[in-house]
Amino acid sequence: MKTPNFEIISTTADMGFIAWGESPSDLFVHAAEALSQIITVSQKVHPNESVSVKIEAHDWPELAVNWLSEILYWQEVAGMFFSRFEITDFAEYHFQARLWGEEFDPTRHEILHEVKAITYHGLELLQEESGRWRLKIIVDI
Amino acid sequence: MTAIPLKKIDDYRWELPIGYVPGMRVPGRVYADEQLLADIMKDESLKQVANAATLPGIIGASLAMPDIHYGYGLPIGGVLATDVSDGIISPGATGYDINCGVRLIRTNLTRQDLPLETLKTLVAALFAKIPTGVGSHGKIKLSAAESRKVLTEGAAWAVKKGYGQDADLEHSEAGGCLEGADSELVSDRAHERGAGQLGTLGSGNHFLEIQYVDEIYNSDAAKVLGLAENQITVMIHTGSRGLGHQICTDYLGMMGQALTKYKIELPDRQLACAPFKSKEGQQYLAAMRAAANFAWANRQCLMYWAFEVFLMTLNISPKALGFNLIYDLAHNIVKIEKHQVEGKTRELVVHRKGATRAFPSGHDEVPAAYKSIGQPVLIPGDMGRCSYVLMGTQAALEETFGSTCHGAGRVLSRHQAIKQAKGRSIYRELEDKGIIIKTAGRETLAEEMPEAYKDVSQVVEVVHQAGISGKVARLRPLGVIKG
Repeated sequence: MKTPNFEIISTTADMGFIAWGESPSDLFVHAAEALSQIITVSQKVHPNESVSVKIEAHDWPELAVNWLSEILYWQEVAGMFFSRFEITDFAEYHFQARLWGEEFDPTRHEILHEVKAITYHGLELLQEESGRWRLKIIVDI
Repeated sequence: MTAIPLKKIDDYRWELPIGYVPGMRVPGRVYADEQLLADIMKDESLKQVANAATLPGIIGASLAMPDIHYGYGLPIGGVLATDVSDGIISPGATGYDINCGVRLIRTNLTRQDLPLETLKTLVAALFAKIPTGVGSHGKIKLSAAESRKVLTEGAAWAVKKGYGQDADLEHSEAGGCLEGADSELVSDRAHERGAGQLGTLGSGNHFLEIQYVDEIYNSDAAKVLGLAENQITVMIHTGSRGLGHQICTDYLGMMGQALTKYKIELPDRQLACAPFKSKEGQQYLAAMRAAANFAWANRQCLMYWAFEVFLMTLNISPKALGFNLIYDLAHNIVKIEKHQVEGKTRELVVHRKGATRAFPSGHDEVPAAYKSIGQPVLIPGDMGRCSYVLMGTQAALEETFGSTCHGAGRVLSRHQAIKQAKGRSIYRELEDKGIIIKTAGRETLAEEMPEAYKDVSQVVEVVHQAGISGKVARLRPLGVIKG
C-alpha cells in the first residue's frame, strides 16, 4: 500500500498535518498540499496561474514556517487558492518555488478553514529510520 | 489525572507546583471546578501553563482561566505577567489574532420587535452586507497613508470617517486606541494583508450575533449598563485579521533568532520572546499596538454596517433604534499596567491570551459611566446557548492582574465536531430553538456547533464564585452570522 503524502490532524482548537517526503524538497511540496487541503478542496483549484517565490530562513523549522506562511500571504493578497507546488534550487535553509492556482471563485471553491498562521508549536522535522522525511505542523485556525 | 500534581486550594482554585516541568520560576494557578478540570486534563494545556512559568521575569503565577484549552505556546485562557525591568514580552504568548475582542451594543428594541420573519430578513441582510469568511474583503480600500492612520488612531479613525460616534470611544477598553503604536514597525506584508480587510468579520469562531437579554443577575449594574430583560443586543467578535496574524508571524521569527543573543532557553519555540526593554521587545510592542488599533477600527466599522442594516431593514430612525455601544474589549493582547505586587506598585507586562481584563469599580481605566460598577466583561458563548455580561472586581485586580475568562473554550476538536454533526442538520436544530444562522464556510456550522464548546455558564460560574468577576446579565442568541 502506498503511504500517504500527508495526514490532517486536529488539536482541541486548531488543526495541523503530518507530511512525509522522500527528500526535504518533496516533503515541503507535500506540506504545502496539506495546507491547501485544510483551506479548501484543492482538487477543485485549477493550476491556471502561478506566483514565483523565494524562501529563506536560519534553520529548518523556520524554513518550513516561512514557506507555509508565504502561501498564506499570497492567498490573502492575491485572492488566490493554490493546488500545485514546484520547488527548485533546494539547499540548506533556502529554495525557490512556484505556487500554481487560480483566483478564488465562490461559485466553485469550497472554503473549509481560514488559517490565520503557521505555528512553531509542536513542530517536528526529522528523517525517519526508513529514510523518509517527516514534518508535523500545527496551524492557527 | 494522577500524573499531574495539582494541589487544590479551594473549590475553584488549583495550584500547579514548581517542578511540574523543569525550569518553572513560579507555580501555575488554575481557576476551575472539578468538572471543568476533568476536561482541562484531557489535553496538554496544563503543561503549557507550566511552560509559561519558565519565562524570565514572570511575576506571581502562570494563570489559567476556566475556559483554558490547548493552544500554541501559551494556552488559550492564559494570563502571564512579567516585570518591565527584567521580564520578557512574547508575541506567542499574545497570539496571532492581536486584539481579538468583543463588542456589545444595546438597542431600544425588545424581542417582540423581531418576530421570526423579521429576524430572518435581518440576518440575511447582515450576512449580505458584512463581509465574512476566508479572505473576505471590506468595502474600505485603504491607501498606504490612511492605513498608517488606522494603525495609530484605532477606532477614532473610523469615528472620524463617520462610522460611529464619540461615545463609542468612551465605551471602549483604552478608548479604542493604544498609544505608542508605530506603523513603521509593521512590515509591508502586514500592511498589504490589512489593506483590504478593514470592516470584515473573518472566519472560525468570529461572529456577529443578535441576542436578547434573558436574565438579569445584578439589576443595579444592569441599569447602569442600560440593560433590561428581553432587550435586543448585538455582539461582535473579531480581531485584527491578516494584519495582526502577519505581525505576530514577523515578530515570532525575529524573536526566535534573538533567543541566543539574550540567552533565553524555551520549552516551546512558540513562546519566543525578548527582554521587554530590548530593541526587539520594544519594536514588537509598538507593532502589536498598531494591530490592536486596527482591530478596534475593524469592530467600529462592523458595528456601523450593522447599524445601517438594522435601520434599513426595520425602517426606523436612529433614535428609535438606539444602537449604542455598551463596551468593547480585547481578549488577546499585551498591556503595560500598574499592579500591586507584595505591597508595592510595579509596572507589569500583562499578556492576556484568551483572557479578559476585569478591572473593578473606581479604577482609572474604567469608563466614567461605569466607574460605580466596574469594567464590563463580555463573555461570548457558543451559538446555541448563551453569552454573559459580567463586571470586573477588586479580587481580580488583586489575584489575577485584573483578568478573567474570555469565552466558553473548545472541548471538541474540529474533526470530532464534524464527526458528531454527521447526519444532523445543525441549522435545523438551531432554528427549532429560534436561532437563525448563516455561515460562509462549509464546515463552520458543524465545527462551531454548541457541543464543540464547554458550557459557558459553567465557566462563568467559576469566575463568579471565585470572585474574579460578577454576573450581571445573560444573553441568548437569536440570529448569528459567521465566516
